[in-house]
Amino acid sequence: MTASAGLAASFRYTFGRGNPNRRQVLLGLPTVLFLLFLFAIPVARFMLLPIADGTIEPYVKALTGELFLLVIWNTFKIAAYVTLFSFLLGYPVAYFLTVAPPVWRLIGFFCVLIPFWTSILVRTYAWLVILGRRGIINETLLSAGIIETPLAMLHSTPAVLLGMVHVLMPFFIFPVYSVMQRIDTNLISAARGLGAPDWRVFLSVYLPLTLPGVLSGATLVFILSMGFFITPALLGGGRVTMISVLIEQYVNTFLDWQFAGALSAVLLAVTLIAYGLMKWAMKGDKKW
Amino acid sequence: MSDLSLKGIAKHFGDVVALEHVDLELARGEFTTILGPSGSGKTTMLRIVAGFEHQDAGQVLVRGKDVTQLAPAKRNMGMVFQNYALFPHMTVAENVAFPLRMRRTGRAEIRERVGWSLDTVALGGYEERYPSQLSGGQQQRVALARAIVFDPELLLLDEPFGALDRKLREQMQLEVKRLQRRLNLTTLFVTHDQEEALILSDSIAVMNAGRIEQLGTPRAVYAEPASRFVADFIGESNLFQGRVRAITNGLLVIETEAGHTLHARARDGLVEGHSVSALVRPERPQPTDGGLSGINDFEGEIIEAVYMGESEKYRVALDGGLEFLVRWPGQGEARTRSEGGRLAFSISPDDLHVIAVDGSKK
Ligand SMILES: Nc1ncnc2c1ncn2[C@@H]1O[C@H](COP(=O)(O)OP(=O)(O)OP(=O)(O)O)[C@@H](O)[C@H]1O
Ligand SMILES: [Mg+2]
Repeated sequence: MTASAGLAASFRYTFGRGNPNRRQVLLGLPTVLFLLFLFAIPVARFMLLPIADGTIEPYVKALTGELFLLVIWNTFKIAAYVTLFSFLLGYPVAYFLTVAPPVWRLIGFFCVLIPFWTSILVRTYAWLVILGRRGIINETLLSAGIIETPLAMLHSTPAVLLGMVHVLMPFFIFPVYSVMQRIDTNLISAARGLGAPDWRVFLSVYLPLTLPGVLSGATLVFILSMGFFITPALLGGGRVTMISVLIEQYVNTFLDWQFAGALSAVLLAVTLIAYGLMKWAMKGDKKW
Repeated sequence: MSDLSLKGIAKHFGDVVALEHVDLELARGEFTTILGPSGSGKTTMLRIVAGFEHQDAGQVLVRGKDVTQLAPAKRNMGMVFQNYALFPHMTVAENVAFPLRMRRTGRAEIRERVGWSLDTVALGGYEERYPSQLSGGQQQRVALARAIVFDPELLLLDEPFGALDRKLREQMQLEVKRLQRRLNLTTLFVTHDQEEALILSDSIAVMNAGRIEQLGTPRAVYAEPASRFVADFIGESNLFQGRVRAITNGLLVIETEAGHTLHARARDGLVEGHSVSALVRPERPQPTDGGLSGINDFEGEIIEAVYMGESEKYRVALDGGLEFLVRWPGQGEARTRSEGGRLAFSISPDDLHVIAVDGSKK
């Protein structure tokens, strides 16, 4: 559910702010109906299970239980870190794609897209192979005699972050790239000509101009991170608990669908609040 | 000492020679226009002066100081770009304040200078608007205000009026000219619009394929072009190829390839046998009542008549096949000068400009 909200945001960005006319609305109708009946209604039913059973106690528990608050906070933190790292690593990549000569741009795009087209499961397993007890890194270090016992790299927050940033970075790179590409290089020349040293050109002109893309990409990455499951489940190995991992446990292990529904509702609420905040932050650029 | 001098500037991009060898001097307060067709290297030249592009050879001197190694930020030049290049995320006031903030000017002074600058371009009261909320002409003025607010040593303008409609363009031209005069700004102006160049400039550098073909006052480049290219590029012209047959009584007798004889005022350096081009501007011929007795008397049939409001243009086929373009003040009513009619005119030898063919580039 979170992914579709994020994608909607990115599409809105990509296709501008024009008012759709009536025919365009009709064109979207099949998709809307499809999503409504096969996605929104089942999900809503799932999240409203407790209410259907005449109780709100699971919601209260999900919002007050110390463990659950901790997991929510943890999820939020991980999503925030993933977003931050996607920015720090993805921004230069987007810039490179923007300014690189055609051949290098092609190679760059290839490097970003290949993992993007590979299943998340495959990519996550690849990290298991690399980081595992008997993985590539440990084997190499062991045989080189640098370490005596294998390093425990998996099942830790850094491993989860690494895997998630890897999977989600393209979602940051593309919106930023699309904005960077449209920036008039004369603006950069103008700023330099008016006396701005390079760092000021970046901070006062380039960064603000790319901000819509950055916020759009960050929203996407953050929202996808909040609901991320496979990577934290596999690379976290139960030690790094994100809310979606918890939901899965309540569904599959404890068979407590009521509470799983309540947790999902909480996840959706937190995500929507974060999304709303980011939208609000983006409002500043409406003026230009 | 000139404010700006370019010495032997050359620049190529891969195989393309953008500038071959350019020398140019601008005195304090001079308004010089770089005029030339698309791709002749005008923008490249301006970008080299501003420091956005680095020349392969030659020097750029500002007030006698070599700025070749200086970054654009250190050159202290105000530039207006063709598309204005206003920062869309900043208000008008912030845009204009930008160069001052980069120079760490104090708050109070910034406010004062920005106010002065916006008043100068008649945009007081627009401080809080964003560029997207302004018309093209207003954006243009903001760009100008931003370029002059920090007392630049040079003002560089790259086709700043290209995007404006005719009326606004003419108005802005006059405003820029007035401003430039008042502030005594040394200005390098780029355009491919010859009319604009003639109106605004103290001197015009006509560029062709990476070279300056002629540098001179508007009057000089219009009335006495140094080459066929300049004659052709600026204004409308009647250009005839020919040869000097004789020199009599201080007049050159030129025989055109089509067999006509033209008389022109003699000029130093031209002797019998020289290949020349003869130029007559279309407004120069004087109407006559038909006699072909004097020198430079012609008569022919009007094959095309175009009414242009303030003037009327006739294409005249002379007997012998030569075509002649004549432009005279518009008449109140369509009279005898209509298509199919006859037109007789005479050209004073002083109105015939002779260009030695050797002196012209292909
Ligand atoms: N960055 C560049 N890379 C490659 N070639 C370039 C570059 N900039 C300019 N050129 C080439 O150099 C020549 C001169 O270009 P320039 O932009 O100076 O022309 P111009 O006189 O300003 O033309 P216009 O009136 O169309 O603006 C052209 O042939 C152009 O293709
Ligand atoms: Mg140009």
